[in-house]
Amino acid sequence: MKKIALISALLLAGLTTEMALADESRTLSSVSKEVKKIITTEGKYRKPGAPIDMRHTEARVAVGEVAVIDVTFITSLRSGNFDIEVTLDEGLKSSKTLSTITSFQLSPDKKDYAMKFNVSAQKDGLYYIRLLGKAGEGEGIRMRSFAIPVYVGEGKLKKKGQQLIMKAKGGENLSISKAQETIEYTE
Amino acid sequence: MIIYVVLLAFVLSACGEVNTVEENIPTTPPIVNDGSLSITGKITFDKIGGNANRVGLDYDNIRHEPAKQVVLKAIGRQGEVVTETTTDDNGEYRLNNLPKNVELKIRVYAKLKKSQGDVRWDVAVLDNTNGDSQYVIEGSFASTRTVNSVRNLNASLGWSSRRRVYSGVREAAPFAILDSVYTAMKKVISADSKIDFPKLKVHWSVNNVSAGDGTERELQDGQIVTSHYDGEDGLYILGDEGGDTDEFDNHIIIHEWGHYFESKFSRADNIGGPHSEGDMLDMRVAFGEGFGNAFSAIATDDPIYYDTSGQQQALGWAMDIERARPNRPGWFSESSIQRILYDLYDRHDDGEDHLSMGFIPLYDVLVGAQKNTPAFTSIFSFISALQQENSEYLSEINDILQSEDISPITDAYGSTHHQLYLKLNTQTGSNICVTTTYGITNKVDTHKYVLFSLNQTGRYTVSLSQTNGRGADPDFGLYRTSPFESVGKAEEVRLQFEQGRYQLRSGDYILDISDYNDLKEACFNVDIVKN
Repeated sequence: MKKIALISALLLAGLTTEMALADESRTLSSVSKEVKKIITTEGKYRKPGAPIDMRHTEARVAVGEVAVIDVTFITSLRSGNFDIEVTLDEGLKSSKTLSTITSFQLSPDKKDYAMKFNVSAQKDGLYYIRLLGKAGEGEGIRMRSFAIPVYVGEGKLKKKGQQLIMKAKGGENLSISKAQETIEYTE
Repeated sequence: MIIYVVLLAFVLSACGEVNTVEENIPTTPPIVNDGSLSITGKITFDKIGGNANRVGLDYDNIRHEPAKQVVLKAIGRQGEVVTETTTDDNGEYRLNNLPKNVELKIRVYAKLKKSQGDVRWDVAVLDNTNGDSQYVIEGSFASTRTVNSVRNLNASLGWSSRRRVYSGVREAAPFAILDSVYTAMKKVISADSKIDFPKLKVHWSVNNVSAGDGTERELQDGQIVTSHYDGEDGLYILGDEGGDTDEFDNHIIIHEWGHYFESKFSRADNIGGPHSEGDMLDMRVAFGEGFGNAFSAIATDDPIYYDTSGQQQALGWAMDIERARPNRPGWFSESSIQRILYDLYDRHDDGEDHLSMGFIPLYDVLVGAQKNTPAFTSIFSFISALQQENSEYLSEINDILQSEDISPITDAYGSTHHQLYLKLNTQTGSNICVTTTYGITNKVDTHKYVLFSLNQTGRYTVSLSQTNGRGADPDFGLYRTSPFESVGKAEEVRLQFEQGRYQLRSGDYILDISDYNDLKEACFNVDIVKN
């Protein structure tokens, strides 16, 4: 399929992260400089919401290593502004002071708006940077959520679910949780 | 004495690791349901909705909502299913013929299953991050004793009102999703009392986030891109606390279910891609997305569409499907489409809307003329069929169209609105141009539809060659129009030229032409040659 072929080409071409990093990140143990894959929401299905797409470099780093993630927001909007609200998973630390909300002033001749993250974690796992884009005003406000995965070490998902996963006698694979229950006997 | 044997089984799936425990297996004999006792009860789940302004979820108003039509089983100590049933529309159930003094527990499945009668369905909510395990809630083992009993079970929200976070299992979520799906199905059943809904698997997890490319491995990690219909038999729904949860955003669930409905019962020529209010979309995308939004309002009889998100699910946005101010209205606008469809349906007359058709006429077109139209599915194909089948409302329909700056529709091709279709035989096939004047990928004029007829069955070569430079990467899709079917697509990564060879029957065809590179303007010669 065409899209897959193009992504492969992009992977081969890669994007080498420059070492010209902010001073803060130089103080940390090490910095990623490997070839990075680009991930984008452009062209993908999206539920109704703000007309904002996101492109970002993939983040796969060792424990303690700083992942430098270049993010580009793409929008068809040409006036006003849009906000990006950022939250990091617990355990994921930014080596720079991170504003909770970043506001971008839209320009009629510009469609790309850049952000950069320098993040690291001291424990193995799959972490997320969550971004909530907001555009418009009043009744015209629209939002769109994004998440950037940061793979640290083996980068395995730490599943949040607390259910018991059980293979039932009939072979069903069940995700079981305890219900609130009342029992009454009718004499 | 009962001895429990617990077997640990580690099931390695292709890409993800899923740890499962096998069901406790004691040494008591299995229970046979040949007794005289009954267990009755009601199954509910914690339901919440949007705040009054529909921004954010309202955790201060949790109500116990009946879990309608869900599968329920009585389970014995050996893990055996003693008997099973489904709840009714009040969430109530009855299990009969149970023996005295046996220990049973009630297991409730996040699953709707009806395999007999005029109406049939099969919908399950599964955890895509745990090997597609089926969500269930269970009660405790308790004796039937010697009398009838009542066992009520509730699936809890898992929300800590003190800490304002989910602190327990979010067991209500799968049942809330089912409730939205059932609401959508009931609207369809109101128009068609004999319908068999194809199996649907709804994938939801607390790990489902707005990330990834949607590969199999990513889906198993919960990176589902966004809530979506997968084009086959699955919905994927976000469940990311603090990011975006959609289980209580019922319009979103029903919007995505609407895509499933279009795919299974009507026809969706929607090419997908990014879309937003105010965009001038390819007419197929505009109709598909506008239909999804309108159907969510029609199914719920609530025109306020909302999507909650953010920390503590306290943020979000809402739109009034009926009253939103038109922003660049027209046949290319998903917002116009949703307003038109909802106005055709609803009982509330406003502005130019003096029509209240209800759902049946819309449904009849969707599963009839719209499914079989020789044109691509759009507002043109839909309205032209609706007018034919309801000619007494022609004036009222035109009034609603006019309110969205759409002049009267005369045929399924939108002939009087824009040069959407070109006839190959009368226009020589040369210099058919696509442009990005209105945006890229899936906006107006990024695709051109070329109509042609073949008098002879045979093997044909279809080719596109660029006539205005070198930078375009032409692609095409080929469709036979009666019955409407996709013949093939030619989407090689190649500049200037594209080609495909097909065995074609005599008849009418549409060639859907586009430029993958989205040049400002790309023009092509079209050649269709019999080999």
